[in-house]
Amino acid sequence: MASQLHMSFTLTAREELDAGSSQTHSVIDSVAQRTWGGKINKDYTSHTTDGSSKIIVYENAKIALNSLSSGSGLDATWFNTTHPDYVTRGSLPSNIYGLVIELVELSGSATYVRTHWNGVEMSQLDNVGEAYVFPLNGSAPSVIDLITNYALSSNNYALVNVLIAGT
Amino acid sequence: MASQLHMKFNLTAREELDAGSSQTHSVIDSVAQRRWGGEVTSPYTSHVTDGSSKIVIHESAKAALAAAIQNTELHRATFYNTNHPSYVTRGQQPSTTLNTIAIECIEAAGTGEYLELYIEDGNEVFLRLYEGESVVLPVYDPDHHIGQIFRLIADVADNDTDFVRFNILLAGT
Repeated sequence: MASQLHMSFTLTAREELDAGSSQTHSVIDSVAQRTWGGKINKDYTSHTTDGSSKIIVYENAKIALNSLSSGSGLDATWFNTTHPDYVTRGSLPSNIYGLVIELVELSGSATYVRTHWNGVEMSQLDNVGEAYVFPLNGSAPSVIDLITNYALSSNNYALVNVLIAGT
Repeated sequence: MASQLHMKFNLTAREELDAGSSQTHSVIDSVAQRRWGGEVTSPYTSHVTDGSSKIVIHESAKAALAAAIQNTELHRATFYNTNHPSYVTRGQQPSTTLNTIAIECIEAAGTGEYLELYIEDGNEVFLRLYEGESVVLPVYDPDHHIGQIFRLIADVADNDTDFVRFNILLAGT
């Protein structure tokens, strides 16, 4: 059996109903009627597969740039390693099937981390503790950009954990 | 408290180690070292918010087209067919911002195998879903494209015998 990325996703649309006396009933939205989502599994190249992992993590990396450029792609200089807790392991894949971004800290004037895919604004993390997973179809690292809203300085930065896996 | 979309995401990289005797040990990848992911919460306009829901679902819709060209964008009613007997829809399309997309691929019939989601120009596949697979995407939509840049197709155009059937939810404001 091949090494696999097991990804799961859930969405609950929660409607807040006035119950009177300043109380609310929190219910599943009347259009959605249920929790949505499910799973995707994708093969990836682990160290076990052929001795050369195509999975990499960056923990406590600072986002380096505040606008799209040739340096903001996942194959380039999107991050800065100056945080004392910075750690990295593994090797960058050529074809990405799983991408995770976890927002660890917003410092100073930094207020978000944004993901672009092929130059298009896709998703944004605005609160510390938020994270998302993208199940991609073999995207090249250069297609995906990570930026924040403030050019990196010692006081103003966004700190993230990123996992990139594929083949 | 506003009505909210609660989204959760998890990724586990599972490495298969040879344990001998045709057995395997399934372990968390030595690079990943833990489960990854978390949650994102976004506001949306529910019926309670102002009496006009900005959330729509289509269940048992068929992908109408097999090429990411015109009429496959998610803000149109032409990317899907409604001719399956189980087809159901409720709610209204977001009109200002799209905040989330959920897609569940529920059946691949005949020569149909998968769904594909494209972004913008339709030249490169963003993600692919096979039967039984589902995804939730948190969307950042400052330009109010409300689904115009997302294109959903199957590997076959619906012809009654060959099709891919799915559930989709779009929500925002």
